[in-house]
Amino acid sequence: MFIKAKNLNLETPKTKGFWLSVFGRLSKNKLAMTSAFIILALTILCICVPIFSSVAYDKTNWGEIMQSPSSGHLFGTDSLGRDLFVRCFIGGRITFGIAFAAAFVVLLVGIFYGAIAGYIGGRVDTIMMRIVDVLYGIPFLFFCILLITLFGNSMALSFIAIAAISWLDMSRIVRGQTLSIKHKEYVEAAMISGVSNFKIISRHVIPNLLGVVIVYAALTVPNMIVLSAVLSFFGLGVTEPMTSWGLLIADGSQNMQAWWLLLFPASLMIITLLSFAFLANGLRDALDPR
Amino acid sequence: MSEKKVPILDVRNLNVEFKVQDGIVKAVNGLSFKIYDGEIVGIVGESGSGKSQTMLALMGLLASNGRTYGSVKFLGQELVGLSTNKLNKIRGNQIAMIFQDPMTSLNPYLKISAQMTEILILHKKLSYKEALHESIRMLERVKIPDAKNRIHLYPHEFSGGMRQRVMIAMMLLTRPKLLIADEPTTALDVTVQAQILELLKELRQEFKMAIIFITHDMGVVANLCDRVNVMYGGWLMETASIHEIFTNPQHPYTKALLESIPSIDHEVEKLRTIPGEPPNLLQLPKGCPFQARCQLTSNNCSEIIPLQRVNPRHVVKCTQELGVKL
Amino acid sequence: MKKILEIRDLKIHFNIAGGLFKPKQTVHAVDGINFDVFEGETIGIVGESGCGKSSLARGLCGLNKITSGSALFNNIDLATANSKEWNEVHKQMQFIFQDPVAALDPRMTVAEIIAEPLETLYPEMKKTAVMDKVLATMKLVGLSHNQINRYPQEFSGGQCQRIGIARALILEPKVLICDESVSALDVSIKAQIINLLQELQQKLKLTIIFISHDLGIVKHICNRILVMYLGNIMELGDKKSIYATPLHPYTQALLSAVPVANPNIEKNKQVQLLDGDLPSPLKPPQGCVFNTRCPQAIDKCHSERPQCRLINQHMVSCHILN
Repeated sequence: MFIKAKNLNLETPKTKGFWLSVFGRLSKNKLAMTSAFIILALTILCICVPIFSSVAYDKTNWGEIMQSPSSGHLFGTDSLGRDLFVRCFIGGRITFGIAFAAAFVVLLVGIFYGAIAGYIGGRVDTIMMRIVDVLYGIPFLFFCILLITLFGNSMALSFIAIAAISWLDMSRIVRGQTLSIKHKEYVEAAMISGVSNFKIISRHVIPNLLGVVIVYAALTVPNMIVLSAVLSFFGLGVTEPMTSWGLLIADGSQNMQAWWLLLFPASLMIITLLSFAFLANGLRDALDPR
Repeated sequence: MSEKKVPILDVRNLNVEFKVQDGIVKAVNGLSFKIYDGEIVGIVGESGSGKSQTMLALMGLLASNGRTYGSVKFLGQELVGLSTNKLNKIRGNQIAMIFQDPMTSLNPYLKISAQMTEILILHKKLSYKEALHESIRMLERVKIPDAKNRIHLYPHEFSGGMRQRVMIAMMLLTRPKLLIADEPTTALDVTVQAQILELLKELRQEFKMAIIFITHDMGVVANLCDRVNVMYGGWLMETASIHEIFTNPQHPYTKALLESIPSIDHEVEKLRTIPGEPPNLLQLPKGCPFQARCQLTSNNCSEIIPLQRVNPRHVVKCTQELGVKL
Repeated sequence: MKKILEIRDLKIHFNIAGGLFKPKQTVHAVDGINFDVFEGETIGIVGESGCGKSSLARGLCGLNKITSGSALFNNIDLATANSKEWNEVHKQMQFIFQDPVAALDPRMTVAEIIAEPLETLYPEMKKTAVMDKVLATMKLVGLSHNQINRYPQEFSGGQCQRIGIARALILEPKVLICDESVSALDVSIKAQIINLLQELQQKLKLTIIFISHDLGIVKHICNRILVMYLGNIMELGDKKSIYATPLHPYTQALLSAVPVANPNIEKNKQVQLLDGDLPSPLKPPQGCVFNTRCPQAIDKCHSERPQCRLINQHMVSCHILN
């Protein structure tokens, strides 16, 4: 019935896919690209500085207590004579690490939870979303304190606490998107082709909601950074001599005469947060050119 | 209709452009036509032919990235370049417009009575009581049953056909000289469409207004219009009386278009098709926009295309000799 | 002629969930219809919006649940089919959507889109064989093979519809359901797609169920016409005789309301204007569903729902005809 195609070495120009053209538009946005570059640079610094630095982050030096910034100590030293430059980046490592890991979990859990609830719908949807509502009702700090009193203070715990609360928003957003995609004709076409529910979700629904999700994820990372900072500000999670931006800022705010103790970690954090915000903005514009 | 009469609307060399990211979209190119008192003129064309943009341009309702050049005279008054204030006095008063989806121009949160009386109070300086009375009379005129009570309903409480009637009644309140109807029956079912077409014909007689009727449906044109403008790629390809366009079409596009419509009154073995796709308005070819799909295309088609007159009111924009068989 | 689809007393109802103070409501989209589809024919289902023609089409391919009755296709009753049986049905009966662009996943290439049904329903097929078939099918619908790696947004509406047709045809189905498949296209493109469908039908011996509100197109491509109103069949018959001598008052009004592209006919014709609008399918009228708008309704029409009867070779459901 059908004529067989004789040979397959045909000329088939491949055009730019969706993500390539998104990247093309994004690369024209100078602010977003600068932000992306800053984020990348900070990440690399956080990894490299503690490794290649001559002083360790927890090395106390009683001869150099509370030194203001100098060529020896770029960001100065703290009340125990530790080098703030190294401490800032080791703290960044923790902060970034927790934020990225939590954002990753948020993406994974939020997308699948939301997509399944939205796609299956009906009673399943109702139950899944009511669970989300109940979890929403738990106050975040109370939840963290509860975890810590039950299991002791540890970094892993602060990560779990942040991730456990933050996927809720994501799942709601994904569910909303899924509801609208579910009734698109291309999903119905897939149903008529006998595609299984799981495959429809993974092949048609998720790729089509990734755009919105990525923008939201870029906004989630700074949220995570702030949350982990809040936790360490209250002394939850990270413990001395290990540090994080939140802890450093808490330290600095108690030693106001040593301005550098507050200025450097706070500026690093603000720059990071702004960069993520600008990047998210740029992504949103690139994903929806109109 | 004699040539000596002053036209209600005189459009000369109208151009509409839109600036977009990838360049300039030339939506309407060198459009000229006249509309006389009491005429119903159909503007037909496919999507992208510029038929809707023409009307939005002469109402001053283009999107913010749009530009209008040329001249549009309404009862002798130039509309292009007129300030919004002065334009507001004309549109909605002397020129009225109805759209495909009446909900776009009805406020869903206000009762019909409030929306109708507002117009009369504003334009005619009537009291609320007089305005309400007049509004009810107008609803009765467009055959809305039980108008006295139904005027106090919200737009969503009417069906699609009834909503379009409400819209028409609202537009007629100020007794406009010209009604522009942009695909007002496209979203309606045929039986309801027939009702609305019948109504428009009656109202035209009664209110002595001209109607510009934009559509892509040749059947509707044949039913309603006195004259037709055929548009393609932002150009006016052919203008003629309704009788002429169907019995003696001259432009190759008009001919092809008419033969590609399956109809219930005659049967053909195979529909005639126009090969290819409509032109990209970002990169219109030099000369005629239809040349790439035309059967009779020649080298002259990328030059300046002459206007040819079959008779004073049947004008064709084509290089081909008149009367050539396809 | 061989029956390919046998529909008996088919009902498709939708429940609208009630709220705290609202009772549950039921939309009677398709309300007990009987007809057969024969192999190789093109049957047109016409009617105004809300008449249930789309619900019927979607019910036949599993997008809507059938509430009761039966629809027998290849010895499978669609009303009770399990997922394995549905996969058999999908292989034989495919669907073409109204909006050509929305029917294609914007994140997939043309090749991926067209290959998907084949890869899903024939998982044992080799990749190269699938690719061969994709290319052959594209050729069949008039797409050039160098377009396989492009994305749907680079195509015009007409070409998107060709991709949609290719996706349906790659399974070599026996039945094609076209739900307003050309309504969204421009006049000149519409004619191209209609001609393509006709060519394909002859070449592949397809049976087509063609749903449309455009009576001109239906007349052009169909052999038989089924007129629906508010979930019920009004009239069913041969194309020629339906258009020449419609029997049911609704069919008559519908046909007279269609504007013809010929001013001589239009200026002289008497349109049988119907009053009012379609009643709500939430509470269809008692008796004949058309009685609220019928100019010839008698008492019986308000109390008793008419059965489909054979009159002059038409199946008509109307009390006043003899």
